[in-house]
Amino acid sequence: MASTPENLTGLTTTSTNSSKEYLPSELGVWMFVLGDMLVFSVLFGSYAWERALQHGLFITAQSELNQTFGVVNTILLLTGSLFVVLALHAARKGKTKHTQQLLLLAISTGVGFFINKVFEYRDKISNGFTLLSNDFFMFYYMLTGIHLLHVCVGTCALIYLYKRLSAQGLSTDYIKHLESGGIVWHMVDLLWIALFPLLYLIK
Amino acid sequence: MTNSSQIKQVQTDMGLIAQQPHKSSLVKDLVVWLGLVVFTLISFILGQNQAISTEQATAIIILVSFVKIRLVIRYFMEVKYAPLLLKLAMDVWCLAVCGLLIFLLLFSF
Amino acid sequence: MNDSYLKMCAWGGPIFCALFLIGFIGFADFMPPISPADSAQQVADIYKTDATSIKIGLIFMMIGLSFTMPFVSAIITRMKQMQNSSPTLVTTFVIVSAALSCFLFVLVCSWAVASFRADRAPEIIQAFNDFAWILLIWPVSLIPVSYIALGLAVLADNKQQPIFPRWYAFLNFWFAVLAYGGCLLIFFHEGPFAWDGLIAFWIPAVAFFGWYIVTSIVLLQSKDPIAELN
Repeated sequence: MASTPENLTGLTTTSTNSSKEYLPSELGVWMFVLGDMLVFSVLFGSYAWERALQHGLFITAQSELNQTFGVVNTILLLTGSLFVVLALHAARKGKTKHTQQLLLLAISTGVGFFINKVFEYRDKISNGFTLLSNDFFMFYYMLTGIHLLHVCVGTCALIYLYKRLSAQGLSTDYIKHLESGGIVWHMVDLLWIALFPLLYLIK
Repeated sequence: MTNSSQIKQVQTDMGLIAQQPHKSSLVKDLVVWLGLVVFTLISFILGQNQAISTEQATAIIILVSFVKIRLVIRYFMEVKYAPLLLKLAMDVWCLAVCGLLIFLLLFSF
Repeated sequence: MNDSYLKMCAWGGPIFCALFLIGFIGFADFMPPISPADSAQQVADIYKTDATSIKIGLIFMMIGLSFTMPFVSAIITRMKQMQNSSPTLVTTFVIVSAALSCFLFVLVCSWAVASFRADRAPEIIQAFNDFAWILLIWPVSLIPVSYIALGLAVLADNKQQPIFPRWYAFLNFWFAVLAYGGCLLIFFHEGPFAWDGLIAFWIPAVAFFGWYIVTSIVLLQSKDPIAELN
C-alpha cells in the first residue's frame, strides 16, 4: 500500500472538481458505514419492539444497570472522536508530531472504554445477571457486546494509522486513510450515543 | 494542472492538502464537542428526574440523542460539506430510526 | 489465459443460490426455519408428514452445492491476479471456502439422516435436526474471515485499474459484520438471536446469498489484467 504517484491522482481529481463539495474518505467506506448503521437500526428496532411487549420486565431489569458506567463511556467516546477530528486537522496542516500525539490520545480513550466495559460486565455478572437472565439482559449483553467489538475494530484501525504515520510519514494518501479511520471511529461513537439512552436512560 | 506538477507539489510540501476545500474549523469542532457533552449530561439528569412524566422524558431523551448523532455526522464526519446524496442518506437514517424508536417506545402498546 | 472458463464458473454462484433455495424453500419448506423451541414430537411430525418433499429438497440442495466450487475457483483466479496482494490472503480464502463446502455437505447429510427413517424415536430425529440447523448457522463465525481476506486483497490491488472495484472490498467487510449475528445461537431457543431469529438467520441469510449474487456480477465484469496489456 505504498504511496506511489499513481495513487495520488485519484485524490487530486476529487479535490479539484469539488470546489463546493468534498467527499471525505471514499465511496466504499461510506457504504460500509451506512450498511453498519442499518444493521444497528434493526438491532435498536428489535430491542424497542421487545421492550414494548415486556415493558415491566425491562424497566425492573434496567434499574439494575449503573448509569455512571454509561455516562463515563459516552464522555470517553465523545472525547475520542474529538481527538480524531483534531488529529485530522493537524495532519492537514502537516504537523506529524501533533497528529501522532492526538492519535495516541484517541487510542487511549478506546482502551479506556474497553476497560470500563469489562468492569461493568464483571459487576453485572457478580450480581448474577447474565445473558440468559431475561430478555433485557440478553439485549444488554448482545447490543453492548456487538458495539464493543466495533470499538475494538476502531481502536485497531487507529493503531494501524498511528504505526503507518510513524513508518511512512504524512502524504495525501495517508490523509485519506486517516479520514476513513476517523469516519469508522465516529460511527462507533454515534452508535453508542443511540445505545446509551436506549439501555440506560429511558423509562 | 498536469499530473506531474501535482505530484511534485505533494513531494515538495503539503501544499496540495492545504488547497483542499476543508471548511470545518477547529474552534467549531471544539464547540460541537462541548455541546455533545452538555447534551449527554442533560439527558442523564432527565433520566433521573421525577418531575416530568416518563413518556415525556423518554421522548426528549431519544430526540436529544438523535440531535447529538446528527451533530457527530455533520461536523465530525464532515458530512456537512459532502455531496447531497450522502447528506440525504444520513438524514433519512436519523429521521427514520428516531421516528421508529419513539413510535415503538411510546405508542405501540 | 482464456477468460471464458472463468466467466462460465462465475455463473456457479447464482446457480448454487437458485438450486439451494428451490430445495430449501420450495420443496423442504424450511422457510421459516423449524423452530428451536419445538418439542421432539413436533419436529418428528414435520419429518414424517413432509418426508418426500424434504428429500427432494435435499437433493436439490446437494446438487446446488457442487456449483460453489467452480465459483470459488473463479474468485481465487482473480485474487491471484491482484497486485500488491499476498498469497496468505489467497490461502486463507481457499481454506475457508473449502471448509464451508464440507460443512454444507455434512449439514444436508444430517437433514437426510433425520428424514431417512422418519418413524424412529422423535428424540433422535430432533437431535439430527438440531445438528443440521446449528451447522447451517454456526459457520457464520468462520465465513467472515474469508470475506475479510478477499476485501483486503481487493484493497491492495492496483488503484488505477483494479480487477474488482474498491467498493466491493467494503461490501465484503459489511457482509462479514452481518454474518457475525449468528455466533451465539447455542444460547437461545427463541428470540432474534436463536437460529430462526432476525439477527441470527434472516440477516445472515440475505448476506450469504447476496454475496454470491454480487460476487458473480463483479466476476463477470472483471478482466484479466495481463490480457488487457497485450
